[in-house]
Amino acid sequence: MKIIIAGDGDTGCHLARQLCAENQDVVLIGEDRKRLEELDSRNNIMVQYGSGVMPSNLKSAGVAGCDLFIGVTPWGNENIVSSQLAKALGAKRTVARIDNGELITDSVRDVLRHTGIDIALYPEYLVAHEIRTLLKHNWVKQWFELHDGALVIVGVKVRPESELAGRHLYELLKSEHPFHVAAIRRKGKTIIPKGDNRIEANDIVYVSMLPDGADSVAGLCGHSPCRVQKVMISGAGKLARQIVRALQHSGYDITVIDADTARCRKLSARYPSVTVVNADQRDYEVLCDEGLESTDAFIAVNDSSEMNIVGSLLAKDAGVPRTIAEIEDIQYFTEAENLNIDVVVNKKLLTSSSILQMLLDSKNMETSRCLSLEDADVSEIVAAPDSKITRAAVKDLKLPNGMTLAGIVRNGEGMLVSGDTRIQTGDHVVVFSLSGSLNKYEKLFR
Amino acid sequence: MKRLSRIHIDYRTVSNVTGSLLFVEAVMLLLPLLVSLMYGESEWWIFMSTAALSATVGVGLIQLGGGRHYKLQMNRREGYLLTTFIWIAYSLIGMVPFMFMPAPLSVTDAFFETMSGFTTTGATVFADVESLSHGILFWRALTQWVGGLGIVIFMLVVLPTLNQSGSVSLFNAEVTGITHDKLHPRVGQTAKSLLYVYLLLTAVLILLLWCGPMNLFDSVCQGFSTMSTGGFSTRNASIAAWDSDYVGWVVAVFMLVGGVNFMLLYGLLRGNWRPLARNDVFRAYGLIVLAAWGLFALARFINGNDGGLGRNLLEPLFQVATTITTTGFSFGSYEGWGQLALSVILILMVMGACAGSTTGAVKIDRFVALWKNMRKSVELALYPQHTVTVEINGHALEDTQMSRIMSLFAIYTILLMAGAMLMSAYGYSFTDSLFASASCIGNNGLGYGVTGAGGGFGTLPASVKWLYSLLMLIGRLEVFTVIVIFSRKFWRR
Repeated sequence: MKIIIAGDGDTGCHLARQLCAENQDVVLIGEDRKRLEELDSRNNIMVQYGSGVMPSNLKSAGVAGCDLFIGVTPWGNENIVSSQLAKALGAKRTVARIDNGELITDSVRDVLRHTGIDIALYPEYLVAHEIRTLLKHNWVKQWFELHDGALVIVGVKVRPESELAGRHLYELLKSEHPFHVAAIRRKGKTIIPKGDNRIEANDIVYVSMLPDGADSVAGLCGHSPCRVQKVMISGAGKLARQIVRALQHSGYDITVIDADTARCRKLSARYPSVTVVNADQRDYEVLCDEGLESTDAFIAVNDSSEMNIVGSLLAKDAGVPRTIAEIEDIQYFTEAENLNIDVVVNKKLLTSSSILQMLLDSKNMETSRCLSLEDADVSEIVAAPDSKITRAAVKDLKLPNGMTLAGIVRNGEGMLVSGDTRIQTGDHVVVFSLSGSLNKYEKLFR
Repeated sequence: MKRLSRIHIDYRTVSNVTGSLLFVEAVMLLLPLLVSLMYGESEWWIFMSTAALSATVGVGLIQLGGGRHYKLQMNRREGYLLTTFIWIAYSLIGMVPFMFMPAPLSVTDAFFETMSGFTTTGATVFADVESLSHGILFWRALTQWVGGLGIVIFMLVVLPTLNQSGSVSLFNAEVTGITHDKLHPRVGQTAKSLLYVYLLLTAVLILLLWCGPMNLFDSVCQGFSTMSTGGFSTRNASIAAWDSDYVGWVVAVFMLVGGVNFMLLYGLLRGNWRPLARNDVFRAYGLIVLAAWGLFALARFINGNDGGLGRNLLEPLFQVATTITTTGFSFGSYEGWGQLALSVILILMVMGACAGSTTGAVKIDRFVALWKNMRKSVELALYPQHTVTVEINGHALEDTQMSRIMSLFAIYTILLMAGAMLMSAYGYSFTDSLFASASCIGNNGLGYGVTGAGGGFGTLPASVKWLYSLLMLIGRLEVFTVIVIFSRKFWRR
């Protein structure tokens, strides 16, 4: 599949790397010469210097007949124009990252589609929805739904006093729990477990489950799902507005703090029910006055990653049970994950992973990576007729180490995999595997 | 986020990839084996055992490198190290047949000959190639043909597992030129397209030669070493042995074609001639060829060589082609054309043809850049406030690229002089030494004086041969790929 990416920012580069690892033909158009050279010398992609809104650049990148065009420069309007040009010049599908929330409302979406933009992505919207999910399921680090929620993958920390800590996986198998432990993250490394692996306290386990298994998983990991009532948002920018918008009908008690008067005014005018505090969000006394100690969730979405990190740590110290920080610099992301912050989110990673997910919809992809952990991937693979995987029950297949079948979606219905399960043709199988080994396992499904 | 840059070198990857490439060399060795069998020569067993050796060493290296399913970790360092290592490993295996044939070569001579083959230098230690068997002659030609486009390019096509991000560092370490352009998003496809051009041109050339006075065997061998601008011939008198204007013209034209950037030729074959016509480097190449042609014709005539109009035109053109494309075939002697012609030949030898072709030496691209940069420097001396840009084919060169070109040129000159110095230390004349050194580092293969009519490269002392073998490799991989390995920073953790 030929894919052209316009925009060499973090999102574009991340996408280019991921797609090239999946053996797609990638051309990256960008204007930062140094960055392009570096990418070109390290990745199996082609780069082109120039702007994506220039038809000559698009043409020489081979836009005629390319399967997917992705516009991800920092400027929404430029992405819109370049996607429209690409469509006019022959791109089969176009995706544009936009910076205006109104463009993704259902009525406008069709207008955009008519003018040549098949999919518009608004990163702030994606983050807002991620945060909404995380507040709803506030005991997880990651909540990922497949096929409209038929199957759910969650990443959750195992509390020391919980039932799971110290247990071997084979013990779990005997007790018939409605979930499947697909991966364990321990000390920055991912383990794809076998029956004799043990779950230790403070591991993060990635579990696949049916939607109704949530309470049981939470309980086993030592979490009691609590209802979030009071939410405090540090920062009143564009992202904060989207979050407020996404949360406004969920019945939360929202307080927003920002030092910038204009931003505060704007947010207050649009969402009058929200408490808007015009004060320095770093000022501990102000935060306490606004009830930081009784807050259930603290969300830091300032422009500066550093401020978000420090703010979340501060809130955690004050006893806020749940902290979420938006980290803009991808470089800080891993480090921030290791700090005492419950969840870190990143606009760019969310954007690129949602683009990667969309690739599954296009017909010529039978495999799609749906979730990337640091050194492991979660992929959804469609079992082909008469492929090896369908020939026997799972326990008789002698599957190699380093991969596990986390679950299947058959005819839109989620199922967990046990030893006696037999994969059928056309099943969407969710596979956890260590990074880079996917190609090896894909053969089983062909 | 993954940490992308690693300092340590993954030796398993180096061993693993070298192993699989040696396995391919074993397959390559089956071709001269077939030729030997066809001609009923006793040498077939040499190729048989060399192929077996190559395969055994290959399998051993793969096992040492973590087995067939090892996950390769290729970064910049592995790229440099592997590329250099592969060329040396290929030569070490490729020299074995020369050491066990009926009149065997010494280790030094065999290594020199093989390195000269793979780097398409074409300097030979054999005084009498006509006494060699068909199998050996074919093997010599084949090493040149494979080395012409580059061993790595071949492997990227043959081994699909190498079509991955890590291989970009291999590709960049081997492909010549200021920038490393690609034809397609993935290196494997780019390599495939280049190989397609190469195969097509070689096939056409062999057919054309076969139509003339050459037999099939000679056409294939001469075709291989012409298209790769290598220069190994199957006759002692090189192309002049056929004494045919037809052969002369065909070989001269195809040498010149071999000096054009293959990416442009690919465009041309797909009916897209405009990039070629508008290419600064290609135009400079054309102009230089024409100018040198005129100059040689004049020099040849003034020094009293008159062989009729046809010869008066053909011999100078052939000489320009064989020199500038760093082939090293000879067609009539230029040693009687006077001193001016000799110095122009030396300059052309250092210059070489377009980058991205099968030729060696510094490449015209860099000379164009140096020339433009020089003019801008003069302008800056007069108008220090001017902002100037050096551009080639409409792309501005960055300062870092320009300084890389200049340092390449400087290192090249230093190595060239070092080679000449070592040879003259043995008492050879300065002209002969300089010529031989330029011929080796430029992958040219022409000889003058003691290395030309006076004996050939075989007469040089062993230490000079080893140094020249190294210079050939450094010249073929464009200096930095090999030189970085000798730097301390390369090995520091």
